[in-house]
Order: sequence, then structure tokens, then C-alpha cells
Amino acid sequence: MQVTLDPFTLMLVISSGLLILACILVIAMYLVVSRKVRVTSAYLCGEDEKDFSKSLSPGGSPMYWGATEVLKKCLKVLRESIHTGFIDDWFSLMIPFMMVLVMVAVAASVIMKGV
Amino acid sequence: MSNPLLIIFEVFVFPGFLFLCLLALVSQWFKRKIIARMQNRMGPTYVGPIGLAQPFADALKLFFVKELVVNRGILWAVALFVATLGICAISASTLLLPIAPVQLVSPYDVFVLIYVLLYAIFAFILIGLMSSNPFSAMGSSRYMAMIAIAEPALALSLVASALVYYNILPLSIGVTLAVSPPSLYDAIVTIFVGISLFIILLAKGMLKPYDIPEAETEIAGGFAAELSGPLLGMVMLLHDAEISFLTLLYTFLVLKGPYPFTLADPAGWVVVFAKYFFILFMASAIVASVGRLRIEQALRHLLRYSLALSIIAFVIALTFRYLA
Repeated sequence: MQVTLDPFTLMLVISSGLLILACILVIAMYLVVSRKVRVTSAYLCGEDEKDFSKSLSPGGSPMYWGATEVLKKCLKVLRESIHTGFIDDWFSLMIPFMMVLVMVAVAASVIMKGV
Repeated sequence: MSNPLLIIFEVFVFPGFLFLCLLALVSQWFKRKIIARMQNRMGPTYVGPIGLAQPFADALKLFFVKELVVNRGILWAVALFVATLGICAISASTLLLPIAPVQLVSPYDVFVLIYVLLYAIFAFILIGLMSSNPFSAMGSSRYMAMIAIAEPALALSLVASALVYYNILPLSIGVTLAVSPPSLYDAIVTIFVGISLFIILLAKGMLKPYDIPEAETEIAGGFAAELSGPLLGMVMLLHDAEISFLTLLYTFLVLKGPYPFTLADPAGWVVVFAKYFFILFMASAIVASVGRLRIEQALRHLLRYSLALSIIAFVIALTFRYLA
């Protein structure tokens, strides 16, 4: 048998069912589980927890390696175009870039003046 | 609305919590047996006839341990509540399945289902992140990475399927699951949804080749590394219940449940369970045949073969909807 409800009632029915069941199950679990508790340190396959916790946050070198890995193609293009040993190559890349920056600066100053 | 007591019975007993737990444990036995046979092992044999009661014995052993072993960092009570909430969410969402004596449907109920299924995901993520163990955190982060692709793919697949029967009730997954026989338009959408959903079943169920979040030999069990006793039992039950629910969903959504019979006919129920165990057999065969993928390989797989197919199914369903 199919019963058609409106979406809000359906949400209400499912959420209520979920919560009632969860409350009863949690209460039942607390009644049956053992009261005897033994607290342990983290299982790290035989490693000492102190040594392991030192490397929990990434250091500088792995982040640098990650960044160079992600930007590998971009860095390759830059290296091949700038890092050739000729200053002309450096200028030929930088001058258009500088021109764009100058144009952006001029445009920004004109717009800001208008404001 | 229907009798509230009947709704409570459905959530608690059938097809809710008790039925789902029973199905999950029997499915676990079936999966273990098939995988063992394919790997030239016996599988569970000791408890009950042909080892059928082994998952029940394992669960009971975990729930009734004499001493709780708790990791120093984990908030044990909160973790247990979160895992319980996950199982209850899956149990409550069975009200939308056609096997419920009173199936609840509504317009746009597909979004209700997508929302309710998120509880289980948050349970796995939170339990892993709660622990002070870096292996658990790593398992959770891997799970989150996979879910970031698998969940949108699942949502798109469900919405695409629900779009097919928009004219009966707008975006109702309950109606979509109950409709049979399928139309030609449904069959076209279902081909894409079927492939995508099967991959989602493996990924969300953390079955090989997508068992990266709990990779035992690599990160010591991942998010479950610090779990033991009732908490481990609850998480295992949640894991199996999620697999069972997704398999049931697949049975009705892709293989059209009891078709060519109906659920009013006992033969229809036989067909539903035959299809259910067939899907489980296929999943187990894949688990036994393939190795574990690396995380980036798994993400690429999910993008190409699950999310892409879900998007195609969604676009086809949307096109048909506007052409109709």
C-alpha cells in the first residue's frame, strides 16, 4: 500500500522514526555494554606515539614539494622561457607582463577617479 | 496519514532496523562465503549450519565484551551515538522502499532519501576523525575524497531515475521504485544509472577495488583502526546495513524489484531476493578478483565511470522530460 504525504510530513515522519529508534538503541546499548573500561594509546604499528605526533602537521619541505608537483607544467614553461641564461629572454617575458600591469593600473586609476 | 503504530513497527521491525540487521548479517555471510570460495578457502563454517550464524556470533561477541578498550583520544559515547544514528537513518529510509507494508511517498522525496543517507557518511567520517590515530584520520580523509565524487553521482542517478516518472508524482523515488513494468525511456536512463550505481555501491560500501579508507595492510584498518568492542560492532553493522540498503535500492531501481511478478504474489518476493543476492554475488566476485586501487586511481575511476554516466543519465532524463 502506498501513502502519499507532503514532503514536510514525510521528512517529519522519517526524522521522528530515526530519533526514537536511535534513543532506544543508545539506551539499550548503555544498559548492556560492560562498565569496565581500559584506556589505551593510539595503535601505530609499534611506533612510538610521540615520534608520530611530531609529523602530524606537514612541515615546510613536503608543502614545497607538493606545490612544485602541482605547478610542475607551469614551472617548466617559466624555467624554459626565463631561465635560459640570456637576459633578453627574461625581458621578452616580463615586458608584456609589465605592460598588462601598467594597463590595469591606468584603468583602475581612471575607474577610481570616476567613483 | 496511516496508523502511527504501523509506521513505528516498520521503522523498528520490518523493513526497518531488525529486518535490515538480519539482512545485513546474512549478506555478510553470503559475501564472505563467495569471496572465500573464489579464493579457494572454506569461508565461515564453524557456527551454525554452513557457518550461517558466524556474523551473528561475531556481532554478539563484540557487543558483550567483558572490558571496553577505548583509545585515549576518542569520544567513545559520542562515536557510539553517531554510529547508532547512521544505522537508524538507514532503517528509517526503508519506509520509502516498496517492500514496506505501508510505503511512504511524497513529491520530491528523492531529496529526503539523499539527505537521510548522509547520516551514515557523516558517521564514518566523524568516527575516523575523532580518534587521535593518524591512520584513522587518513582513512577518513580518503573516504571523504571518494564520497565527494560518489555522493553527487548517487544523487544525480536518483534524480535522473525519479525524473522518468515525473508525471505520476514529481521527483518521487518511492513511486519510481514501485513502478513496473519499465517504459523504454526508463530502460535507456536505467542503463547509465545501473552502471553508475553499481560502482557507487562498491565505493560507498568500501568494497574492493575501492576499499582504500579501511585498507588493512596499508593504514591498519583506516578509520576503524582504533575501534573495538560495541563501537566496532556498531560500525560494522552500519557498514553492512549500508551495503544491504544500497543493494535493495539497486534491486528495485535498476532490476525493477519483483518484475515480472508483483509483491502481492509470493513469487515476486522470491524474485526480489534472487535479484538481491545476484547483485551481491557480482559485487563479491569483483571483490575477490581485483586488487585495491590507489586513491587517485579510485577518484579517476569514479569520475569517469560513475559521475560521468550519472550526468549523462540526468541529461537524457531531463531532455526526455522536456520533449514529452
